[in-house]
Amino acid sequence: MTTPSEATLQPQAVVYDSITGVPSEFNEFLPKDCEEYKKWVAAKEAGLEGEAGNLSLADKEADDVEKRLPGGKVKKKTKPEIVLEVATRSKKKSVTTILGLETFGVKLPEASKLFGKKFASGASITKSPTDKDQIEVQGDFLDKAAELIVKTYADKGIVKKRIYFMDNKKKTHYFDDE
Amino acid sequence: MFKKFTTDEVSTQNQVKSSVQRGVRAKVCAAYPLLEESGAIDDILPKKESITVAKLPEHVQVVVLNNTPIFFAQRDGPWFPTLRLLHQYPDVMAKLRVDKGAIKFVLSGANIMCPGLTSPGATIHNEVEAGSPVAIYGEGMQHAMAVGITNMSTSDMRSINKGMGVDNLHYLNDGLWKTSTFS
Repeated sequence: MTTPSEATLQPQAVVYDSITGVPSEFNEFLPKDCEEYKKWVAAKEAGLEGEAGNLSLADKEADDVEKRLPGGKVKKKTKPEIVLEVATRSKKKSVTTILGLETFGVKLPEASKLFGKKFASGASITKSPTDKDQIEVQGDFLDKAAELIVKTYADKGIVKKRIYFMDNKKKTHYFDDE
Repeated sequence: MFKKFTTDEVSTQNQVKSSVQRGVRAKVCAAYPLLEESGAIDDILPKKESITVAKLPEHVQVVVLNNTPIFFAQRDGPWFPTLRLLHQYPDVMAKLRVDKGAIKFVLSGANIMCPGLTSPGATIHNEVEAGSPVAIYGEGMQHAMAVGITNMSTSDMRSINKGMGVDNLHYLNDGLWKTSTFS
């Protein structure tokens, strides 16, 4: 709200730092313990010491699949797993979502057709909040779906241990006896 | 407010009635008259597009347009633009500038204390009353780094010069900043 003459009609383009995601001028003021700050410091040091190739490569890998644990251990981040969830939709109706089938190499269109057929209900592929594809089946089929997955896709390497369901927003093993 | 926020915390996200949409628009226009005068409001909140409102814990509401959060409010309080939007339209909000020493605390989510706004490095660009939305800038910085609501008027800040001057609601790299898209 300076002077009206300075008013901008057009949105201004703001460039955000590629590493930290905030305007570059704020990089050094970020809290010392946040991920972005550490990455930025690492990137800066890499640039300064001329070890750019080595370090930045490691950083990239860390971004993609691995997460560095505090103990210096490197842990694989994405283990294939299946997450089932039943969400209530308008009072008595519910939808079952199945996330992660494709991590086992199951073709989603075929799978969704199968679910639809077996449960005599509508099944479709939708995008999950994290931008992954998931299968959505109309109705509450948590138990049936879990068993069907184990039965049908045993040859794809799906074991009971890797099947989870969302219990009160917490990920829980579906087959807890194993 | 958004220190540890993720989309998991969204309890409901609904397309709102057009009357509600008009209400939001009217309130935004009233709070930021420059948006209406310059016509930028039609780019931000087009009349034809329907918006969704996401409800978060602590009675926080977020206006979402095309999966992008653009305004937020707590209870019946004023609507605040998100920082990404404010960066695009920096002149719509009253500006307060803190000194260099305060920047890192603001980016950790601290409320802004009066001395940080009255010291030599700091500037009070606009005179505002208590309870008005303001954008927080840093000494020597081009872009806004936080959005907050004033606890006291700017003249009180100068005369009292103690305690919290501005409540920090949304700052760079907090949960809402990192959530650039709502599904």
